[in-house]
Order: sequence, then C-alpha cells, then structure tokens
Amino acid sequence: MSVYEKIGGEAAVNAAVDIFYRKVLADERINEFFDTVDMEAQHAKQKAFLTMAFGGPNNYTGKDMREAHKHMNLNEGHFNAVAECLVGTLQELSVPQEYIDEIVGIALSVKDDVLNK
Amino acid sequence: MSILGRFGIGEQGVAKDQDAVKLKFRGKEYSPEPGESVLDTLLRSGLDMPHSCKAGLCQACVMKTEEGIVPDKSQNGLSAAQQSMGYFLACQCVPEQTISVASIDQTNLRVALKVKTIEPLSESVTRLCLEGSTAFRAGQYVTLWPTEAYGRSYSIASTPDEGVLEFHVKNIEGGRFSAWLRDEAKVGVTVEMQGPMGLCFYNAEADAKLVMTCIGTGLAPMIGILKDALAEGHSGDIRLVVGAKTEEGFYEESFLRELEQLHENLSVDFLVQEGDVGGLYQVADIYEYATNEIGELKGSQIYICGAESFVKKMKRTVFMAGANMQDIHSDSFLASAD
Repeated sequence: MSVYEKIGGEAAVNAAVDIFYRKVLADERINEFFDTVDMEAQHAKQKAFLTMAFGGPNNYTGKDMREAHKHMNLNEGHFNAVAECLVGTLQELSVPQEYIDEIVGIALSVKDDVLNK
Repeated sequence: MSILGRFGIGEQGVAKDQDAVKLKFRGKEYSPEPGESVLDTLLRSGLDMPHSCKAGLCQACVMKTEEGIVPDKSQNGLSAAQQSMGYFLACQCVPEQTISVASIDQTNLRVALKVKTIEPLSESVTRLCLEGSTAFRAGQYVTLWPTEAYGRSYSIASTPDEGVLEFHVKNIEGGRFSAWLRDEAKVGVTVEMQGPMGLCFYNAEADAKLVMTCIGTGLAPMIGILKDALAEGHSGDIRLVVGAKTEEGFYEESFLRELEQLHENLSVDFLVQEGDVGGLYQVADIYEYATNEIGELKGSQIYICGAESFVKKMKRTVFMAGANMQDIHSDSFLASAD
C-alpha cells in the first residue's frame, strides 16, 4: 500500500492542501512564486503536487517538473522552504513520523528536476 | 489536452510547431501569434467579433469548433451539453493545434425579456428589473444584450419567485449599457438575456455561518443570496459586511436595516474608509475587519463580490484567516474590455 493510501488518499490531500497553501503564502522565502497566480488555479496545482508527494496517482514526468520550474531560477533554499511547509502541514495533521519521512523521500526524488540540475 | 497543458505549463511554453498552428474561420486561414487567443487573432484581422470581458466570464465571445480540439480552459463555465457540442470561449482559447471554428447563432442562447422597472437606487446605481421566469439561482449572473452589438454582464439580485430578474447597474461615464439605460430603455422594451451563469449562489447547510462581503454593486448578488437564504429558512448566523469609500457609496440601506430587524440571525455592517468616527457608519479597513471583527472564519461559507481587485484581496484575506478554499464563493466584476 502506498503512503497515499495509508494516510487516507484524496481526503488526506484535501485536508492538507489549504494548510499547505496558507503556509506557502505566509513564507517570505517563497511566497512571491505563488502570489501572482489565480488562487483557484494555484490551489489546484497544490492539490496535484501533494497527491504526487503522498505517492498518489499523478501524471507528472521529470521533464514536466523541470520545464515548469526552469524559468524561476530556484535554489536549495527555495526547495527547503517548500519541504518545510510540507512537513509542517503533515505534523499539524498528526501524520505519523514514518509516513512523513516517506513523503519527504518522494519530494526529494524530484529535487534535481525542480532545481534544473 | 497535453499533459503539459494540464499543469498550466502550456501557458508559459510555446508550441514548438507554432508556425503550423492555424485558425480557420469562414473559409479563411489565420496565423495566431504565440499565446494569442482566437478572439484576439480575429479582432487583429479586422473582424468585428462579439466580446466583452475578455476574462472567460461573460460568454459573449462563445463560438464553436468544427475541426480540431480546443484547450479545456476555453470551455470553463459552459454546460456539459454546450461543451459536447464543441462550444468554447474565444477569448480564452489559445489553440495548440490547427482548428476550424464557426460562429454560433447566439440567439439560441438568449431569451427576450421585457423591462418592468427602471429606478434610481442612488446617484450612481440604477435598479433594472426584467420580467421573466427563467430558471436561475439568486447570485448568478447573466449577459444582457440591448442590441446585437454588445452584451454586458450583471448579477441577479432577486429570487425566482419574485417573477423578475433584478439588476443593479452602476452608471459608468461613457459606458454603452449605461447610455442605453439612461437614454433608450423604458418599460416594455425588450432585452436579450444569455445565461444564467456562475456558481456564486446559496448552497449551504441551514445552520452554517454565512459571511458575505461586498463593495459597490457587488451588493446585488449578496442581496439575492441573502433573500434566498432567508426564504429557505437559514438559521445559522449571517453576517453581511458592505464596504464603500464614503457614505455616498451605499444604497438599499433601509431595505437591509429592515431585514436585520426582522431576522435575529442577520447582522449588517456598513464600513466606510473615510468618514466621521461615531457616525452611522463604522470607519474601518474592510480586510482588517474581515480578519479580526467577525469571528471564526473556518467552517463559514464566504461570499465575496465586487471589483476584481477587491475580490482578489478579500479572497486571500479570508483564506489566510482560516476559511477553507472550497467554502469561498466569489464573482469579480470586470469593466468591459472595450
């Protein structure tokens, strides 16, 4: 069973996305990247991202992640900020640490694509 | 639609074979510029295509595709039936492949309604009522076409059982609809109506807390939704916060104050940006008020209507203050693009 199924599938993503999106908008290190876009569209993207990070069904390819983030000139600091928001969200939802570790592992697997390395 | 398009990547990227993407219309072929909508391509070529908001809301620019597939985004807001017939919004359609499009006989999308009432609500707002029994939900919007040449969108301030569709029209200097309303409209005159559209209507649990906030003629859908909720016996708290720069910006105050007297669960706040403290109206910043003065937002159904900049900022304000994204319902009012 994937960690996505273990923590509750789509319901878990729905519970997490508002919390995660709020944290990202409040985080000075990264909020500029999320500020300009239409909130509903951004919310949908967050939902897609969390689904992927939880090991759920998604259509992302490494190339998509790379293409989408290339023009933003992101660095480790940006990536870590997002990861922190993700971990904070999961902690707020009382997700067990071992699942948090699994999810962080999945997020790390796309790091090179996101940072265009 | 491509996988890239599903994540909005197509919006930034450019199709590698942009040169091969053509637009066919009425037997002619056009070459869209990268990122250019079907509407803009045709307008640029000198064609007089119907349109208004250029934001995918008013549906004045609806066309139909006869060959080729249009991006999902260009069908947002259209009914399932309309989508299956290939209808799309020309202002939102940036073709990713060659498509052949056609105008639709828009009269099929419209119904003729008679003007029943025209009366001033304030120096800058006019109440316009059209006789009709079309199916709609209070708070939805329609596009009104006084003539074939132009359509403008307005939110419905009445409930279906009133037998009319009520609109609050802001008098805009140099505005075509404003001019028509002032100079040509009178009782009995016919107007074509397209719609209803939009998702900003009452759909909450009877005991939910409702928070409604608006500026200007954003009050129109709020009044509609309020009447709807009360008619349905809504028992939860309803908090309506109306903002304006100065007290001259308010209208329908006595109506709202009376409603407040009649319904214990309703409270109405009028906020001004500039005014005398201790007067009839509270001097407050509406965003700060929403964050701090109306209690817990989490779990409340939030309705926001008015100018685009207000709606964007208020959406963000209530979201950050704890409201769930799926509980935020809004309509932005955009001035016509022309």
